[in-house]
Amino acid sequence: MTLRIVNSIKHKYFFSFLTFSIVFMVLKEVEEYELTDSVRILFNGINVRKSLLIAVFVLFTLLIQYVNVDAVRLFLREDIYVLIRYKSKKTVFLKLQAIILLVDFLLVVTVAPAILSSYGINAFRGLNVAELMGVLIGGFLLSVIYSLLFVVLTVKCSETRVFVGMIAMALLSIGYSRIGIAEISFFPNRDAFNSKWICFLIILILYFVSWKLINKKEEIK
Amino acid sequence: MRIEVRDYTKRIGSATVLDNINAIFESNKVYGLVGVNGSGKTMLLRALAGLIRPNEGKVIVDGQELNKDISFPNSMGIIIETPDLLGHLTGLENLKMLADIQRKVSTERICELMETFGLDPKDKRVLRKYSLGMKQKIGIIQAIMEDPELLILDEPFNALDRETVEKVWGILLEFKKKGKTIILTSHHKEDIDNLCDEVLFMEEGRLVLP
Repeated sequence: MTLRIVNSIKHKYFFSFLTFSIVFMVLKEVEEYELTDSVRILFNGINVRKSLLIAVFVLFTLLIQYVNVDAVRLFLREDIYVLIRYKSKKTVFLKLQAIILLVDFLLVVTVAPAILSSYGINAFRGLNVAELMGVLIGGFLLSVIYSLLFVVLTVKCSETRVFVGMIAMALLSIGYSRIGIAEISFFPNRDAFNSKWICFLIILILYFVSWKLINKKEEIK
Repeated sequence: MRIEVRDYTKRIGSATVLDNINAIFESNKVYGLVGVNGSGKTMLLRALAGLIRPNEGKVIVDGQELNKDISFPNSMGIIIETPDLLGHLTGLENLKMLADIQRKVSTERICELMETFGLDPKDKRVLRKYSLGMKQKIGIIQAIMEDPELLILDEPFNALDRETVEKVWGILLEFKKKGKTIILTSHHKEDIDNLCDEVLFMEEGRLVLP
């Protein structure tokens, strides 16, 4: 079932790839950003003074929901037919989380071919791979946080409201970009360590809240 | 499958949607729930399926209490409201996706059922382009395709043409012959008269005498 959902959203990954490519192209040609900085902007919305960079980050948060929406809709809105077959809400919840992790991972992986198509293979020469990996992992953790927020909000509100809410959330989180979610590095330093644990803590809290809400969903309905 | 509902009460906010329900549903029978809109028919079906928890009382399925010993009846097919699965997948893809979960039914069997209901398995149209009747047929197929012991059907004949309604009657009577338990609601007296061995009347969340 997981693969069938991923297969059904292939066109969404293609659209995401095109979007990422255009974004990287603009950041490279217009803003003259280095490759790693471009990825960091995509994931974290750093340098908030420029509205273009805010737009890039908001776009990324919307793309996360764009690829996740099928799984969330199937498991949360049309859950009866799925639920009775899995036989427990816990299994459905875990399956949804597994699909979200896979779908978000694939979305972040889509960044790699987009970089290649925009910056070309030469951009990788002399690149700090560990740093780039750190930024990508940060982006993945951010995707998971937004996906879980999406789940939590979808249980309570309509999808349109959730999308609007997510834009607001993305804008708000730019204000807190000093947390530096996309600054996670493989190299031990205090800031990176802190931001990594902040991410995991947020994810844990969101898992807990979404599980509680899904369990209580019948009462909400 | 034997289902026993004991002193079941469900409240949502200040409204009592099911009020002290007591009933027994046995194998080899078709039960009809009849009542006006808002009388609690769908809520009772949800209770039998384990989709809601009671404030008081319990539902016992083959000796096991729902929401305590088991979450849902072990072998159940269900339609509640108009099924609207993933709109950008075809009918066959949606059915295969659900079938993937338990792997009890083959693709060939799904195609066969689709053809029985007058749907073309090779139809490339996605579910959101289906008519209401076609979606309802997909709903019925997903409910029966795994040959469940218990069928819970909320207005299964909605939006279906006469020919399909009669086909579904035939399929449900076949299910009954195989010893299954079927509980359904319908606003059409003809459906109830043709199918049901017992009819239960509901009014304001209570089972009442006709």
